[in-house]
Amino acid sequence: MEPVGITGTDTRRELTLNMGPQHPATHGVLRLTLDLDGEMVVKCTPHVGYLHRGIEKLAESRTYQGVMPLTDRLDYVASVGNNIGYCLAVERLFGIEAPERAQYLRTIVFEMSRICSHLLWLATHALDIGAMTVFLYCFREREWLLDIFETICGARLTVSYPRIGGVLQDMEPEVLESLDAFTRMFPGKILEYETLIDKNRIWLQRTQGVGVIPAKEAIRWGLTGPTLRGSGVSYDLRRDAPYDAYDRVEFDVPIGKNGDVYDRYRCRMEELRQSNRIIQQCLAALPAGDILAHDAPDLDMPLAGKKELVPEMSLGNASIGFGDAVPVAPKGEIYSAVEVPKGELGFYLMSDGTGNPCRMRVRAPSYVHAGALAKMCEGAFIADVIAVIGSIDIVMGECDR
Amino acid sequence: MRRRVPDFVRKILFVEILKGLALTFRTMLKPPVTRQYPRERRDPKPGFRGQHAFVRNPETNREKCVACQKCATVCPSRCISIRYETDEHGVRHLTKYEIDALRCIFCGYCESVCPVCAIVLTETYEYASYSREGFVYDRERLLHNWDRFAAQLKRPAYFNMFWRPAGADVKRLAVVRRLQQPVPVRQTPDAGIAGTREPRAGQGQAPTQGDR
Amino acid sequence: MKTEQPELVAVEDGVRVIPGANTIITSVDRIVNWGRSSSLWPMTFGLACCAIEMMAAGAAHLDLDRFGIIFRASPRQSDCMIVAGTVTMKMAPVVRKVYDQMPEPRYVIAMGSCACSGGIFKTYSTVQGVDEIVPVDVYIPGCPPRPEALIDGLLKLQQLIKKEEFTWSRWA
Repeated sequence: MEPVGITGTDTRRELTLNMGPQHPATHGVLRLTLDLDGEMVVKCTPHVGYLHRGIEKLAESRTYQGVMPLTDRLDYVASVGNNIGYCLAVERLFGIEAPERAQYLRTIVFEMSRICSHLLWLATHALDIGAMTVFLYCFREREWLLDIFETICGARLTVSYPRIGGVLQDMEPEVLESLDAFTRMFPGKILEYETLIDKNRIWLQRTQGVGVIPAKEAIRWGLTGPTLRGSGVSYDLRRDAPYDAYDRVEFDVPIGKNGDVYDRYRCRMEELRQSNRIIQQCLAALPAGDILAHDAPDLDMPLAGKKELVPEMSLGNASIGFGDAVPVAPKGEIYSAVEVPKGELGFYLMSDGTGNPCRMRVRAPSYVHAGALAKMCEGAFIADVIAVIGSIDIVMGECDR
Repeated sequence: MRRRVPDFVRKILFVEILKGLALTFRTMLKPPVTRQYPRERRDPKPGFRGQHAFVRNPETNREKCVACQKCATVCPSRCISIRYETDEHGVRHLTKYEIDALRCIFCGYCESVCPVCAIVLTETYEYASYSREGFVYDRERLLHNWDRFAAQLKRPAYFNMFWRPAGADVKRLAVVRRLQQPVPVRQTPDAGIAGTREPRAGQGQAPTQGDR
Repeated sequence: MKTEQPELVAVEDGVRVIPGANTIITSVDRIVNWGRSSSLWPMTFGLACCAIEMMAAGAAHLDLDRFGIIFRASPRQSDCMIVAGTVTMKMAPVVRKVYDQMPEPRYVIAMGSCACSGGIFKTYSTVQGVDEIVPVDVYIPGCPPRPEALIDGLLKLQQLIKKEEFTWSRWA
């Protein structure tokens, strides 16, 4: 990038400012170049790729089961959402259906991860705008859910709890009780956050009328999730293309009106309540039964008694080949999408019959939203850019993959 | 019914900000949630996926691994490497087992597939180090990890939830895992370890009762 | 008149007290290291998943401020860089630049498998361990490590700092 700026000879009024990739308010490693006129943003150009880890390419060399821990690291704030999205794609490709209890359990953990993600979003968004207390409160409640995750699968963030065709293990009664206690406690805590910032005049001035994107524009930019619903478009895959147990629970899809930062904030706060409601209904209606489908593949799936392994393998040598193994997966292609906290997360899988996906493509909401940043930041002040980045809830792991 | 306060009065009196402050002051009076970490430790939940170890078989005093290579096969990060020799009866003998703990992503696949419940991810998490060398765990180190973990375990026996996950179809599990009983561990009550308060000065050197 | 030589009482290794005079005698090393280790200001260098656990370590439940560890956003004001997450080839020059901007003495903590060795991401775009570009003092394995493990790493770094000698002098 050529250096530009206010120098003796440069008579341009515009100043180009580089923001990121190391910036505490860019939620990871997003980099923006802002063309400024005074304090006004004339043009905002997002740069991505600072966290490109090659997950899609890596997936081609792993088995269908082995890809699942990779999906944890896409949107690491709500990793269960990615796991379930991926598992559903594979299940649809293989023609497996998870048992009913597993579907309910998945719905529960999905909503738990949505609450986790929204709490983290609220914490960091409020911190960026200047409300430290909300940050501390949100992390306090989040810890409860992380403890439950740790109990059911042994990890706090990168959980890998769902499995292809079901879930890893059943939830013990104590866990369900703890979760029930959480759902009874949580609505009061949402009220607390709202007491702190909902009507706070600083918060209102920082968020209302900032980063507006009208409904039509939002659809054209391909926005999904709360970012789209904040503009007043009622679109939610949980309701419009139900998966797991979402067609058996009742919930509302909150929508905003103005499409500004404040409306997106309101949408997410309402979603916290709806998620809580969904968990309560699932806990009440949790059926008994199996947790893994009978035709679900084992973890060591393509090998199951079919082919001798390659015995010699040095540390880090990634060449366990299945080569001409017996076809283990049906050939075909599939696109399957779920509603993760950020928006629509789609997995496009292509199978050539071997144990590894031939191609995996991830339709990440954060990537699409990062593109729309340019539109939302036009004409805003520099300080508003932070609010806008916060409001679209961007996670770079998913954006750059 | 209470009369509504006019908007401009609310604005002048900073009503919403005072409400927020009232909440923070109320919270200030509640007991803090902060754990004084190095003194006051929280037990990781049973089944937490931490440092790797080989379960020491109480009968043979060695690892149970049969070199079936399943863990190396499913490992998504390819961090396990195994060498073995086959004797005249066709029995495999493990000659080398290495885990690169820095490559590992702690997904728990290895303990989920192990047919003899040999490799586990223990609940130890405090093993940061100043150099990268010590993180390739060989057989001896893995057994040592187990001893270290077993010494601090506060339960009388160890059972890993991945061996027989709750609600899993038992018929799909390997025979050893269907019958696997909790592994008894020797208790050393004075280990000063995860989950316990560290012994205060003066108490730390007290002779242990359980070692007799 | 001949004064009696006051008797020094050792209260800790290398720290002595003159009884009745409210005076402590120790070496400069100890004072400097004590100051440095108990006001360790790390820079927020959250790259990926581990950043979330780093935030959790700084939040209500494990409050890093107890150790005098306060996150700073600017490399110029920080002593320690916690590399929390995957360092990619594109990010590597930035990491190095930020490290160079930090004043001496500076320390680096590699948090998580990715920062320690590249972890699962043995791909074309990932740096195989942040120690390829900056010197690392403490490695914390885990994917991601628990917040307690991060604090354990920070305490180990404090112990490392406490053993340093002559870092305050020009001849160090």
